Amino acid sequence: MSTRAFAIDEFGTAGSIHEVPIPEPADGELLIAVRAAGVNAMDPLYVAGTLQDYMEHRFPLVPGIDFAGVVERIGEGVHGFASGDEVYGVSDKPFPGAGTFAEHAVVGADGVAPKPASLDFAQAAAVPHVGLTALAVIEAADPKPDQVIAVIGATEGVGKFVTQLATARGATVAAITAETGAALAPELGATDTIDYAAGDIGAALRARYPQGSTR
Amino acid sequence: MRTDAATAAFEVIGLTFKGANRAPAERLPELTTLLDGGQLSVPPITAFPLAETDAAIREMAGGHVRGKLVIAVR
Repeated sequence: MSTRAFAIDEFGTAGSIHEVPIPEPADGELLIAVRAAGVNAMDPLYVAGTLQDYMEHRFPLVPGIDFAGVVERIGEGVHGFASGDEVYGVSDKPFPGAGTFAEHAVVGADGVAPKPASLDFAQAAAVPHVGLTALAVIEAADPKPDQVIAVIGATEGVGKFVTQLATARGATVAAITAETGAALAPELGATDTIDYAAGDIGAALRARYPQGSTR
Repeated sequence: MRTDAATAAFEVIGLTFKGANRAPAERLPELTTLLDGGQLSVPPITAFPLAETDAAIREMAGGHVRGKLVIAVR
C-alpha cells in the first residue's frame, strides 16, 4: 500500500508529491492518517538546508511538525489510543524528513493528544508547536496581574498565543509588532501596540511605562 | 538572505542543534483545556492543498504571516 507525501529530493529545490509506502509504527509510535498539518517557521529552514550542519536530515525530505488527524495503527507499548481516535500533536522525530506534510505520518505517542472538541482538523493542526512554545514562554516569564509584559512579535506565530495567555493571566500586554499586525494585537488582548520598525523600541517602552514592568 | 541571517544567528549565539529543539509535548492536554474553554483562540486559517505545499512554505519564509498556514491534506 502506498500513500502520498510532499517531499523534496535536494535542499533548496521545489518539492513534489511522492508516492511512498505507508510507514509502520515502531514501539511507542502511532500511525496517523493526517487530515491537516500546520506550517511553522522551522519548515522553510529544513527545506532550504539552513540547519544541515546542525542536524541530520533524511531524504526524500518530508517537512512538517504539526498535525491533526485520525489514529490508523498503534505501535507496541502504546496505551490510551484506539484506531479511529481524532487526535492532534507534534512530531517528535529527532531529524527533519519524516514529517507531517503527508497523508500518513508516524509519530511518537508522547506527542499525541485527543483533538480539542471545539476545533476542526485545520484549526487543531494550527496549534501544537506554537502553542506548546507559548506555554513554555509563559512559564518562564510568569506574568502577574499587576505587570506589564512586552511581547516581541506579538502577532506572529508564537506571539499570538503568548499575548492571549498573558492577557488571560491579567497582565497588561504591550505588543511589539510589524505594522501589518497592529490591527490584530487588540483582538488578542494587547492594550498597547508598538511598531517595531518605527524607532527605538526600548525608548518607546520606557516612555509609556516609566515604572517598568510594574503597572 | 533570511537563510544566511538565520545561520549566522545560530552561530553567534552558539546554539547547537542535536535534533529538533522543541517544547515538551506533554502539555498538549493543557492546550486542549485552554482551547475548549475559550481562553485561547486559533488565528484565521489559510489552507493549501498538499500539492501546493511549496507555495505555503514560501509564504512562511517571507515572514509576517497574518493568520496560520495549514496544509489541508484531505
